[in-house]
Amino acid sequence: MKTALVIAFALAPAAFAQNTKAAPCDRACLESFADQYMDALIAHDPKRLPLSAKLKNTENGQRLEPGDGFWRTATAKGKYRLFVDDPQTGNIALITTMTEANVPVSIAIRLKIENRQIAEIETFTVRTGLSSGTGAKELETLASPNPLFLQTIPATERASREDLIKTANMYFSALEKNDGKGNYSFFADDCERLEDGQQTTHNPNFRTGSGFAAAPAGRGGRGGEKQAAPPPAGFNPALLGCKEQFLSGYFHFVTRIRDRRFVAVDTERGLVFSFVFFDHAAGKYRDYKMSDGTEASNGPTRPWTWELAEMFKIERGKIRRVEALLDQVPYGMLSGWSTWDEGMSSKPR
Amino acid sequence: MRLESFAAAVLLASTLAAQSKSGACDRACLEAFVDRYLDAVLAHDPAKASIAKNAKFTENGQKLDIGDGLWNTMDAKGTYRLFVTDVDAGEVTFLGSISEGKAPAMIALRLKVANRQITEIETFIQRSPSSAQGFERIGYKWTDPIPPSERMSREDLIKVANMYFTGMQQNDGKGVYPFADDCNRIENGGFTTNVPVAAGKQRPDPKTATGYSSNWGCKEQFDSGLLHFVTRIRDRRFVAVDPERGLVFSFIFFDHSGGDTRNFETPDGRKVTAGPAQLWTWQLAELFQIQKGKIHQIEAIMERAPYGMPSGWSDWESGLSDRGRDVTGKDTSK
Repeated sequence: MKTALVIAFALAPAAFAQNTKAAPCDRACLESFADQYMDALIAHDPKRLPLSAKLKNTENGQRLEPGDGFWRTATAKGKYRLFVDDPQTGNIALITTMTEANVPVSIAIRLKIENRQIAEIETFTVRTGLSSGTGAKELETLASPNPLFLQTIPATERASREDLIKTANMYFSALEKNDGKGNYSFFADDCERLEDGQQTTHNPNFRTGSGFAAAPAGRGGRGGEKQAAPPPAGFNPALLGCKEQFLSGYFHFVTRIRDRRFVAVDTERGLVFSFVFFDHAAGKYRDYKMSDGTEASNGPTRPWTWELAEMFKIERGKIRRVEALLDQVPYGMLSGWSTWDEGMSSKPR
Repeated sequence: MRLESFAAAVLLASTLAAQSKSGACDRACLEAFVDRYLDAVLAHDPAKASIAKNAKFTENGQKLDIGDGLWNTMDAKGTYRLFVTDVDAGEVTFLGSISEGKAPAMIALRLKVANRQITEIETFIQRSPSSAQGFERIGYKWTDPIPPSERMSREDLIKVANMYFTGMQQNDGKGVYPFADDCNRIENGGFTTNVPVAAGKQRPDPKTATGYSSNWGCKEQFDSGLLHFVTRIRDRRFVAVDPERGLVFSFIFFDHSGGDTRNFETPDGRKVTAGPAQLWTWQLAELFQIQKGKIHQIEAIMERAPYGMPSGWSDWESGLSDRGRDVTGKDTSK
């Protein structure tokens, strides 16, 4: 009896420390929150979650009450999941697959955990994407992310948070009004990119007519018109690697990459997760010269914005992998987490 | 002679007054602002449109710099031109066809004019060639004035228009639906009421149908209770009223929440599941022609928007609320 009491005392503080609200939430803890969140979505029940009283919840840039939106329609979790854990700031971001009314959808989620409670939920559900809603199926076929993402960077080679964000931001700065004349040495030679479940580098099978920015399908619906695919250009950037695409000057029609929010950084694995918007102003901005002097006219013919979740694997200051989810939204739309000035700015945050 | 020149001077002065910044902007004056605005957009030059320095501009719910968005892409005006002109409020709204990037499209436009300058610009572009072609084919009417003795008040016109939204939201077939017998609705350039039954097809019976039919009239559709899946009609902004012609112009959003909101009972007790299975919000510009308390014509353009998106002109609570709001600036009910 006396012994038991001693054991009880010995156990109590340790057990208490494990459960205390003040203990930091490590990688496993953060990832378990992501699962709890998705399970609660499927159960259509926000009450299952430890939600902070000051919770802010957005879905595809719109502030909603928890319980509304995807809470009503989520039906199952998928297999594909790629995490960026950031215990230092309490953020966890991931790219994954789920189903909505039994239809596969790709999802990007960011949660901010404070005192073992969810203080911020940012969900981005991709229903159409780059190619008429096939992205989630493509990711499910892959089943798991490229193993490169999970490799730990040797401690002596790790970059600081600031440097990782700086490198990731170079990607956006070089893509915005891309002219082929920048310094693109931030790309590793083996860099590849996956967008909406499809590889968009070194891929002869990928082609969207006159550019990645012109999806074949528009925002459909009653009376809605499918956006006709522009005629194929003679130049197919998808055949090239990351650096060669940027060197070509092809992406000039991406007029503004704004509201650049770097929301989670994993220094151990060299990962950076961001939410951004790509604006295509169209009109005269479609006409430009590629870096070899060729006159080109590419991109959407009317104002077009992609909302994106985009993540980077960076080693020794170079980008080895880019992975993104994207869906079309009204031109100029904001994230719900920025002021208008921040949301319209190309400045990284 | 002296008298004549005095009279001429008075006449000149009064002409100047009419053109001065403080003079009232009448119907013709307001409608001219629409053309001046569209011509400026066409020229990609905001300086051509008499826009006030701090004017606010939104396109499809997003605040943009004046000169961005459609300013870069519009390349022609079209032939469909329906105005709802609100002289009392200094607002002019317009539903019209345009061309953008060489493709037909529809625009809903609202301009607020003060002191002969545009102080607010709200645009909603519905990018669908078939819609614009449909509106141009059908044409427009309702430019005839309603006899003064039959004219309704601004408040009553808005009240009747709002009954349409209230009747559609979670429609159960049991509400009061203020439709005239000849009521018709055009959505995105096509009739969605009283469509003739196609050869070889049968007219769906509201007593057995599980979805509403465009073969039915306005009232028949609402009486069926089959529009229940429109979960929420929110951010109901009535932005211009023209009592002379019985017209009301609104911007609103229809949310379809999916999930369990798709399951409902018809007025005769049948259990039905209908509506979009995935989340779906329509952004709309919708206008009504109302006479003697009844809706005769409804015209709307609608485009899918992110679920829950607000208009850019409301706070978050108003944007998610289903309360009808007179935002013309001439709310006499207050």
